[in-house]
Amino acid sequence: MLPFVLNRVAQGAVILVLVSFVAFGISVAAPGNAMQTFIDPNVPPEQLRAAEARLGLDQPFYVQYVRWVGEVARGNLGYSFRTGRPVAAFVGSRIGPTFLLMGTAFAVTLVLALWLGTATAARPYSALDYGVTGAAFAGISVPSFFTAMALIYVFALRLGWFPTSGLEDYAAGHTGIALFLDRLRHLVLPVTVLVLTGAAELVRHVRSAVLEELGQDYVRTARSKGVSERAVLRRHALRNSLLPVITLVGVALPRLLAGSVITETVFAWPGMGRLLVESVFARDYPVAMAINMLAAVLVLAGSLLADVLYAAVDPRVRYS
Amino acid sequence: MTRRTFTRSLLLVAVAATAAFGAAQGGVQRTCEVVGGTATIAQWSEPGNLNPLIFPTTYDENIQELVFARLIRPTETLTFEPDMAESWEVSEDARTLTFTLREGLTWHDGEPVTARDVAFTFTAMAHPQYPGGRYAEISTLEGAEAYHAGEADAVSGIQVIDDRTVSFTTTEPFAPFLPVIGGIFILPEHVYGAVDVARWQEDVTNREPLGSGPFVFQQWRPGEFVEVTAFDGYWEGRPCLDRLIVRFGDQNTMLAALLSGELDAAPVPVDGAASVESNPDLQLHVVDALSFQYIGTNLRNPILADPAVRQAIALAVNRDAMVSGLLQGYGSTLDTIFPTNHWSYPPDVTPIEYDPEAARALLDQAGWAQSGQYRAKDGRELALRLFVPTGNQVRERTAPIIQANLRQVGIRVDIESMDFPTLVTHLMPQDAQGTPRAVSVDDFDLFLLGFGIERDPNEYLSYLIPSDMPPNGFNFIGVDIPEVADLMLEGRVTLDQDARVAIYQEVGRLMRESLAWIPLYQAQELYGVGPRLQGFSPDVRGVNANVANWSVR
Amino acid sequence: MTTAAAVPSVTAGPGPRAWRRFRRHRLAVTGAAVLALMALAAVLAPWLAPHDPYDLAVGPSGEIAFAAPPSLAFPLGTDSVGRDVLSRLLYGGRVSLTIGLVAALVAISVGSLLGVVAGYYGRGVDRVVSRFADAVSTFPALFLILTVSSFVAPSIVNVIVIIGFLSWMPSFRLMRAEVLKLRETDFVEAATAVGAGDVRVMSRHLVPNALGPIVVQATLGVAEAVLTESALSFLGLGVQPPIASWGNMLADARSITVLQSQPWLWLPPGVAIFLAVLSINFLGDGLRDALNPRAGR
Repeated sequence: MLPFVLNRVAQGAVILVLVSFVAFGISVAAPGNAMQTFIDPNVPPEQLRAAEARLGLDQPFYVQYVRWVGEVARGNLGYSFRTGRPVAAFVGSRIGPTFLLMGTAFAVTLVLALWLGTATAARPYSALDYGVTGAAFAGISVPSFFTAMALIYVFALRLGWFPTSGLEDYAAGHTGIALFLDRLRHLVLPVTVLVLTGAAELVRHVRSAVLEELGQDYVRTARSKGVSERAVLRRHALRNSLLPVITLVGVALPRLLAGSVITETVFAWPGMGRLLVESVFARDYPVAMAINMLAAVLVLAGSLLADVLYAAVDPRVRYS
Repeated sequence: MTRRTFTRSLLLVAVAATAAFGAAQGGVQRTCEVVGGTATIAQWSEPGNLNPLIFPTTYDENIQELVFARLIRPTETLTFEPDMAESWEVSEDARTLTFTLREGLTWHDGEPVTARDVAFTFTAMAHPQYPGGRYAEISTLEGAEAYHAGEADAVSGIQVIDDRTVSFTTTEPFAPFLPVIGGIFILPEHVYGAVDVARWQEDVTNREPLGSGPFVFQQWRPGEFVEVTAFDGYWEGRPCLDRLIVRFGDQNTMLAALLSGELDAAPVPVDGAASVESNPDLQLHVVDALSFQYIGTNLRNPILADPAVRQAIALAVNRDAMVSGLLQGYGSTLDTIFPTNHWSYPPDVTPIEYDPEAARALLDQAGWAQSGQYRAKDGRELALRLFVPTGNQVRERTAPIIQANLRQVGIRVDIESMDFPTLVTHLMPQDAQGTPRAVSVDDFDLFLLGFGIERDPNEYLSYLIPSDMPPNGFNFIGVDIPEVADLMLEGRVTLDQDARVAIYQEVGRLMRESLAWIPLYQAQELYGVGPRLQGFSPDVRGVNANVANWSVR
Repeated sequence: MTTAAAVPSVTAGPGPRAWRRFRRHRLAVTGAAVLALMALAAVLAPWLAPHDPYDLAVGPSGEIAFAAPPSLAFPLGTDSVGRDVLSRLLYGGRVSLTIGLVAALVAISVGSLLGVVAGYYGRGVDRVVSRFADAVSTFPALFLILTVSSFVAPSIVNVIVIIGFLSWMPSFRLMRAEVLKLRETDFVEAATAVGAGDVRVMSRHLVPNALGPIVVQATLGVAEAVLTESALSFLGLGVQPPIASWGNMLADARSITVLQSQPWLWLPPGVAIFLAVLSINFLGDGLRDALNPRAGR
């Protein structure tokens, strides 16, 4: 196992370099730079040129890239062009909220998918099956920003059950349990959006995987031995249907990160996705690069984790 | 009496009046309905820099004016009243301004505010490594150029006379000097002087500012909010509020938060006005602004170089429909390049009528014959590209109206949307090596942009004089009218207000004739306020006008 | 001996059986029918649309009818700039469906080509191409699309290219896996022994057998492309007005006022996107079951 993991890490490093080169090229190739996001009569062109020179924006692409790589190798991710903040701390502070959102959404999706996938597999073609399938398909057929706006309108504005945006009630200054509950309230709507738009595929996969297992010989044997249907489902079919679920973990991460962009923007959630949008529009490429690289690392780590889990769960799988 | 002494006496009278006013204000506790409480407001974008000397945008300034104070500040009518300076004097030759600070001013950390802090602030702006871009505002100070070039140790035109007195001397009379000073927040030398100027943007002081304004900075959670608390030692008296929280988010998200009661006040986009008005708990404030939107032209394009074509375009566009339909009536049209509510706007300017018939006649006379749906002349179709920057929804929506309107008179308009930095690369182009170059006829035809007056009409200078065409300045349109250039340069050095009014109003009339800028509309700003917040009174100065008097029930 | 006799034909047998299985999947058939109707409406837009989608609705005295509710002249009302919603819906369908279809086609073409090459030649070629695919997949698609869209002039072609060139990885993997499986089989060895060139082997034997899952992937790719287009429009990066697309029409719903009191602005494009994507998803589901009858249903 270890040589496999190390090999993947090495490969991942190569991929990261490739990714950084492409992302950097794209960022720098964008027309206009951070000093051209405004026209201010009090800042004449020669001042802008001086500022560009100071930030190295007047250098050709490869010079800037080499400079960036050199800095990163020294552990310095640079400073934001727009705000001067040290990028590492800046981006680092946004990881938490994104993880909170994605992690909760993923956990809920997983639980929901396993529960509903199994339930519908146990009763195929029933009303429940059609209902769940219908809801799942409906969820993924609506653009996520619309789902978000609709939820805000109904549950936050009309019913007033949940807040419209933000991480917490900033004015109230809650601490302790009150803060925890407040944060929970603020999580509900954004997580719901992510779950509605992401759960469908997992539900369907679990369903078909469990159905396939239920058709196997060993299940019939267990049934004939008198094992209850629930035990059959839980102990046998579900365990073995975990494999496709695990592979989907690897795919889920990039999908959730992408979904976070829209959701975070609509809910004013202080996460990485929203920061990426802002920094791209502001041509703030030190920040945009850091987020892209971070996303790349997360995705690679996620797929490696999925493969390791796969091997752990399925004794037939061996990595040489 | 010479003109200079007349001017000087006028200013002395003004100074005396304001000094008396200042003396009456100083040290009086304000009367609040309720003292204490927390208010939450919002703005549509996060600030970038909280050091007021680093490229400030409106979103930065909204926070900075809570934390910092100035020597003088604008009134509602855009004259200037004392802020930290209790009085000021103009010298005989009108080149020196001497300010006297109030007694007992302190910074948020308790240190006293002295003239040395003022000198430090202005000197830093001329520092050779100053990264903030605002040097040009004070480059007329005597000795600033030498200091900026590294040839001197200090700016000779800035003199600290004693603890509370500082004087500024310019190389020649500089009319906008008072407005410029009215826009510079004073920094504490003992905090900002300890940081190398070149690192000002990266330093923590750019995120945790310390000033002498009504509120003390508490925290800035990136992506979420900035929190400030009342400053007990504020010279004008402690603000009524205990805490003010400014949240940032997309305009629709913040509107939703306002409607649900999570915010006490927020700016409202035009299409959200109806939701605020129909909500019984909320009040809509409509505020005049000093900005407007216009169609810019590329005068190097032979089609647009013909004034008849520009006039035809202006006559063919239904600007009233834009105001009534896109702005829901929250705005007005304007007929020249200055905002209608500013003294520089000529009251007798010829209005631009909506008259497609007249437009067609003009084009016919100019030799553009109708050939099919569009006109042509000498085998060339009357086609123009319209560059539309994204980011202002109302402005973006004017584009199809302009396109449809111009189609009706036979002009073909091709709309190209782009984000703002991309538009800038067209207006101020660079060559293949990245060096800024002059504008050519291919760079752009028509574009939509906004402009306005922040403090003084002198801000238009670089946009209107031929020597400031790119790469030297902002005259990307290519305006080259000798009288306009002369008047703009004269306005810069004329101190007599009446004379300045005449000068800029004449510029307004001349630009109306030229129509190199085709003015469209002036939008008002809308704010929604909830029932808790009292004293919220935004005006032409911005959202925080009167912030120290806000209170919450 | 002709290769036709030695190599099992790929068109008989599986085809008709798959079709029968597909027909049993009622939702998929309905989806296909709905899509066909939408495609027809899109193609016939110039004849079906009552107005020019770019024309402003001008009243008798020259005033423009901004955001007017549905009426006889404008069955779905006018939009915020005064254009007929129904006409824009029809023309917008052309744009959105075209983007979806062409982007998906670009994606599977690029993916299949790379997949066949990587799978067939194996070793070095495979490793390089696979690493490249990993690199591109490692970007959450919207991140990369965002970065690229911000500077490429937003046009229909560019949106298609961006979405297409960033979604080829799944079909790449599918094709590569199939090719790896089939490469060792008898008929391919036989074909090579007879002297069939690489290209011929790839195009006549390998690709057609892998077509099943690729087609399913393409179908789902269309749905994803349509949704991505509307996400881009929401961020201001998609198809730009005045060109109508369902995405940029729906993006009007960002405003609470519009959501609440001007439903004719967002309901038509919203329903259109919903029906289209739902139908595509059902269709894809049905195709998957018809072509890969593994899981018991």
